[in-house]
Amino acid sequence: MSRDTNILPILADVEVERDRAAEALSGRSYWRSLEHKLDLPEFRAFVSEKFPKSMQALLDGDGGVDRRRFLSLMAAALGLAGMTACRRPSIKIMPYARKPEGVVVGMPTFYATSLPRVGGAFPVLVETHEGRPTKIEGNPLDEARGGSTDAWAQAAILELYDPDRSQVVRGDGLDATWADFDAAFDSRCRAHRDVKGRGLHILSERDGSPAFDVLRSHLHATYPEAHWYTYSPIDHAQAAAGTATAFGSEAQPYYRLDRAARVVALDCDFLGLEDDAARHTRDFATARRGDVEPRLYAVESRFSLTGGMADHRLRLPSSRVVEAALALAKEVLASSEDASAGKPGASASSDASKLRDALAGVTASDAFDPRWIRECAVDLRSHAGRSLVVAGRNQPAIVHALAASINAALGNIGTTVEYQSPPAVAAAEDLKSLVRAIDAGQVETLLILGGNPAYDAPVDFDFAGRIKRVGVSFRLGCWFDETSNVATWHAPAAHALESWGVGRTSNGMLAAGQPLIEPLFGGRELTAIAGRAVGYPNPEPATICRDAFQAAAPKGTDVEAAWRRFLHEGLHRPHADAPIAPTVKVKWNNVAAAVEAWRAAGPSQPLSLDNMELVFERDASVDDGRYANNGWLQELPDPVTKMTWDNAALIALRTAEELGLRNGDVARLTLRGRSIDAPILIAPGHAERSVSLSMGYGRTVVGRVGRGAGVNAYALRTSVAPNVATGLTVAKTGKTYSPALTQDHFSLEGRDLVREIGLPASGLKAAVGTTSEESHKHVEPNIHAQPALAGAQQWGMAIDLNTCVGCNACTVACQAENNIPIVGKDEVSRGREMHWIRIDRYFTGDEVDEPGMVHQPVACVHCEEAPCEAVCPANATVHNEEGLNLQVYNRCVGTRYCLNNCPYKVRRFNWFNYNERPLDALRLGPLAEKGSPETVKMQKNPDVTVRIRGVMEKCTYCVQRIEAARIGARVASGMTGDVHVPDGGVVPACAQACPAQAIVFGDIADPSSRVSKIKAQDRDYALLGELNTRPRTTYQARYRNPNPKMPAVAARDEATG
Amino acid sequence: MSTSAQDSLARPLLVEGGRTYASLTDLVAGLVERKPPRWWLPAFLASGALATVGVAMAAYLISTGVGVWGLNEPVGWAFDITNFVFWIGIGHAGTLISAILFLFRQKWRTSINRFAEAMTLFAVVCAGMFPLIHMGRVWLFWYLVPLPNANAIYPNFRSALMWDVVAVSTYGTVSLLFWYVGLIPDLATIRDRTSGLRQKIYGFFALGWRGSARHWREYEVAYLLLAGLATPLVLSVHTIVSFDFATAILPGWHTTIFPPYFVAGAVFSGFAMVLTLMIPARELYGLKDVVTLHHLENMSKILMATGLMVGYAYGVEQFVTWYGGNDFEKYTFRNRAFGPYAWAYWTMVSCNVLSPQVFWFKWFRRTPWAMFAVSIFVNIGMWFERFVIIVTSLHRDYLPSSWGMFIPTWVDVAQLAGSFGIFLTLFLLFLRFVPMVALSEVKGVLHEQLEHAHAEPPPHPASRRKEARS
Repeated sequence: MSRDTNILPILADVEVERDRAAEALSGRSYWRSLEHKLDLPEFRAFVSEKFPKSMQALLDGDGGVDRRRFLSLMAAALGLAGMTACRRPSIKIMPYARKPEGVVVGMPTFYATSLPRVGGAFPVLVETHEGRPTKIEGNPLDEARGGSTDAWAQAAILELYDPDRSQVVRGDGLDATWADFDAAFDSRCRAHRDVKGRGLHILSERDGSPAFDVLRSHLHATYPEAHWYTYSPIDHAQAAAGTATAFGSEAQPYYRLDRAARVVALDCDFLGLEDDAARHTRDFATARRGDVEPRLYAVESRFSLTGGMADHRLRLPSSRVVEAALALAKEVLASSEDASAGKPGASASSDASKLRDALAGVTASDAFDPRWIRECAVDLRSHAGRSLVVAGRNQPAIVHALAASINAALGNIGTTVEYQSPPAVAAAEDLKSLVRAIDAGQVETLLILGGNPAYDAPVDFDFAGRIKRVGVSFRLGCWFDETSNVATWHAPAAHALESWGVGRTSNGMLAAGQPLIEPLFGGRELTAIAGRAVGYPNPEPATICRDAFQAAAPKGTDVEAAWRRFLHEGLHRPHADAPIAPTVKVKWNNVAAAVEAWRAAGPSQPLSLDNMELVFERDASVDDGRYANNGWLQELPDPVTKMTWDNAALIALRTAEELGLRNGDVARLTLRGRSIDAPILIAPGHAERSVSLSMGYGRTVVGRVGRGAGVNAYALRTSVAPNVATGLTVAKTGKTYSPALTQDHFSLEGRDLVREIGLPASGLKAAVGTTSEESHKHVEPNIHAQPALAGAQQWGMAIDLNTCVGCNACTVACQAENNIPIVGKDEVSRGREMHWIRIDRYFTGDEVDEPGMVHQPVACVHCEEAPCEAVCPANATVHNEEGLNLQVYNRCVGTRYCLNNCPYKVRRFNWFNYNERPLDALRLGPLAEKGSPETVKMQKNPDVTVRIRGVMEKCTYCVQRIEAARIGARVASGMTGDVHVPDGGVVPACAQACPAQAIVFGDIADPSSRVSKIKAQDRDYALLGELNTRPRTTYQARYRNPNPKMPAVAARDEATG
Repeated sequence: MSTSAQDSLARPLLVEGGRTYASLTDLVAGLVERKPPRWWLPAFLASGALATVGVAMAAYLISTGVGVWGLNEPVGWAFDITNFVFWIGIGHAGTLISAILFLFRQKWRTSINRFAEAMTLFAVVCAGMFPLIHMGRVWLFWYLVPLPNANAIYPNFRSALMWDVVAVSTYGTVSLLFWYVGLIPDLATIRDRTSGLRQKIYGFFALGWRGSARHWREYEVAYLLLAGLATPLVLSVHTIVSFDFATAILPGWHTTIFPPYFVAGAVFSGFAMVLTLMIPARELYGLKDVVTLHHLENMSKILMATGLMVGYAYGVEQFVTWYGGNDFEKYTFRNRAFGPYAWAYWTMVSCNVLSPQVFWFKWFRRTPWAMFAVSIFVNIGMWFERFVIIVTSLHRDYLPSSWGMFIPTWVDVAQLAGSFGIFLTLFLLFLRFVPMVALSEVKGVLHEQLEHAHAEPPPHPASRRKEARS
């Protein structure tokens, strides 16, 4: 009580009051002044003025706090504070004070938008929960894809929330603000505008967006001396050149696989890595379901998904595919000469004599059995007008020209393929021109919009070094990457889901892009910055996009109404009446000249161990490297190799043996003086003397996910040979590396798991509806009590192996829908990946070099007699009366007995707290930092529990969607009490994403449902049905349609009798 | 009948060295009363350190996740359940010696039963640890206890793991009671020979035993009843443990031979462990008069007999698989013998089937170090038997796509080592503080022996047992 009252008068007053109270309570009296002691009214007034309410109680002497009481209260408070540890912390939620129109809390809203792609915009619907995008679905109004998606579209949502996205402006290597950026950027742009744009150079990605087209036109019109370049590492330059040869002008082939009865793929993975694979897969599946009875021939080096679906596959190095194309053209044109002119397409052949002559001069290739090509050509000829030859992006222009010629000769153009002239857009220059401009010192300001040229430009351009040589470079990107690292300024860009946009789809539709959420990390839209650079009058992204829409829409439309409709539906057909396919005529002489030129160049040096070929592949997971920081995609097994988190040099078994290499060896790949070290993965079915290496890995400036994943193929990729390079040598380094494969064993071991059958005699369509009389699905007697399956609706699934190509879209869709965590490379290599639906890939046939490939998606099959249920001691996995095998997470104690007893091994265990701990510190347990980034939490589906460690999980048939449908039915039923969910009312995430529509879900108690009808087919079978697990998911056997005249088949037929 | 023939037919002495009651008591009780031998403290510290490792590994596991072990998606169990079945099996010898041999009046058992029972108890402690810590969420283990709760959710009584919980906890309880009841007269003996705090403690646990005829009568009845209770447990516990596998549908697990196969294996491994512990202990503590070569020989014979049973089971498994013609099973058994874990399979076969064959020769049956070596082989072999059953069945089952490999982590290995630490620590404590030979029972045997030798036996309370029998 001896504190200096002058320093803290108020405290002193408080102490005075406390003393008074203490006196009242404990008897001992302390006083500081006479006023205090005497308790004069002035003193009371003074105190009450200072401490209006709280002190009143003290003054009155009751309810006060003395030391003892204080301590006891504090002790109690501390003790009780410990109690809070027993409960979850309470977190306040903020309800809507005023509910936005159209929002029902707890009900998702779907918005139409699109994802920009190099090969054309991908139209999607985005599910949002209270303004928070959580899931991407296909746009059902999109006729080309029918509401399906691919793996990349599914994973885009994770990219939006990536906590590693760039969040700050950087200038000259230091953190800066948007104000700094704006000042620097605007002053540079203004200076350039004063000189007609001289010195201003803009580099953007090649995404074909009409919005950029508008800006580019504006640039060219207003500032003629400025330059705009586009670059993407994966392009269609060869296809453009080839069609230019064939037709006189560039054209984009648009395949109609649903109409094609015979397809020849020349190194063209149209079901996998080529653009528009989702649409191709859908059309291809339609053909395989219908009356077309398609037969697919594939000529390729790397075993691709297309090769897996092929009835005949010719293993050929990519650099030799041109020989196959020439031979095929020769055979087709020669036989067209013999054939009578009555057949469709034959009319063209009379003009083709020059090409025929040129082809006649081509010596036969020794790389393959000529009978293969001959029978192939015969088959094509007999299906003239219903056949199709497709050429891959990696193939040189001549192959594209020949494919176009064959299609023309067979009369396929207009039926199975349309050659569209590309939309008229303002011209952009290529990267080479930019390199030249930089070298000439013309580039004062370089604006790089998106992309990542410092990483993915051809290595001979040394683009990273050249960026440093320009005056000032501005870089706008979602991530701080290799390009940002060398640019003067880096500014965070808004993600496509945070931006306005207008895109053009591959089938010529305009696709809307609209922001789903405010930019999470303060990024700005590419169009906004580009608009300012080009001095667009109103550089608001929404305005630019609307202008672009207006420019693309036919004249005379009510633009405002059409725009609103466009944003609502997400798609707009710009030329409703114009035919998509203008008639094109092949210029045979040009093609003949190209063939002559090829012949004149002389035979290419044969491939040998000293002269191997290297094929630069797009990667099925990270594309060209743009998805390198996307954990879902990094952990997504490659559809063919089943490798995660890495790329590897794929090589044939025999070539590897000759080189003395084994799986897991690290080899040095040397190409024209440049070399990289890459792990070797022996790929069955790969062409000899050929190495495939996918691009997009080995990123150096990248977020936490992509760090350390794979090797950089761009380090060997030059502008001279960007697709297929020869002259490669491979040498053993002695180092080893273990890749993380999700499937180690590739043989079926003679087990009857994936069934393949020949085409039914009655034809495909007829077979779809038939059931044989003696049903093969008799129920085995059972001594157990049957589960009471009393529900009115019984859920089941059918998976059609005939149409599934193994594209992985379902796996990522499931991951997005069901909050499935990623586990990291180390955990995957231990066999702990969490995917609820996996795609099993088996090689078939007896020969290691010429295997077949089959895919089989496997998720929980919801056995009626579930082995997992009987063994769970905690009753954590049980059946519901509608036939679902449920996993009750909060009842699960994690004995893993269910996993052991599951014959399908579809159960996934949370070995660590994958959702809460950093993946590189899982083994530190409680010592690691806890919690998941806020943005990652935002992605989670609120309808699905996020699982804790120690809990088993597995496919639920998307029970949350079943319940939502049931609630919907109940609401719709009103007073009728009919809560029957209509057929198609429940679509699990996997089925919704599947481009092939291979997964069908529904009520198997209703014989008229789609799933029941499919299950009634003869080719329906239960996986491991002999165990009497009675799975609710059944498979439909795959049809093979081999050509009996093909050399291999004929030989086999002879051998067997 | 010649004298030599008579000699050869004479039963070997169960207690040698001309022991009297007093010298026997001095020998056994003295081990508890005197200072421990010099090696005891270092051994205790070493095993205590190992036990600490075991506890630390369990703490690490529980705080971090089951992922610290090498388990994965096809192989959901490996070291954890292998260790569990291994330790449970070890325990079986104790119960067998105590209960079944008691009921069959195999008097030679008296010298080793205390020892074996203690081993049982500690093995059950180690065994019980593994099903607990192997759970993903061990803090919810009470979900496996049939508690009435608000949600009316009971454990799943169809699950063999649930039966395990009941079987193992019953087994543990009965084993403890049996051991403790047998201990009471001996604890009283020590109480009577000591003073001070020690006397109080032993007195407390002796439950006021005074050796009156009435006490002996009640004791005998209780002991008999417990032996009766424990006897079916010898068969039931490992039968139920085998149900963990036999009720599953996995090829290699789903087989009806498992209950007898597992019981035989358990007795086999248990006897091996008794030998492993007994042979050094009788050397170190000078108990050769009580645990004679005759005892060891008997145990060797049992070891060989059960080893043959186990070998027969291995053979029958392979035969039935071939005869049954199930492709999945055929693959599993081919994979066991020739797959990536073939080394484990052949380790198992050589240790369990081949190594006990040396006991056909008398020299091996009467040479302690040889017996010790075989017992170690059998311990190793029986651990691998469980490993082979669990891991080779799981790692390649129905769908080749999900096949994988199990590679143990350092935590797996340390947890196994730690369980040995816990076992040995408990055992060393037992050697130090509890009479390791059942004095009262051995005296009963000694009494008969002395009478047969026409020696003048001192009056002893245990003599009533002979009267009851003769």
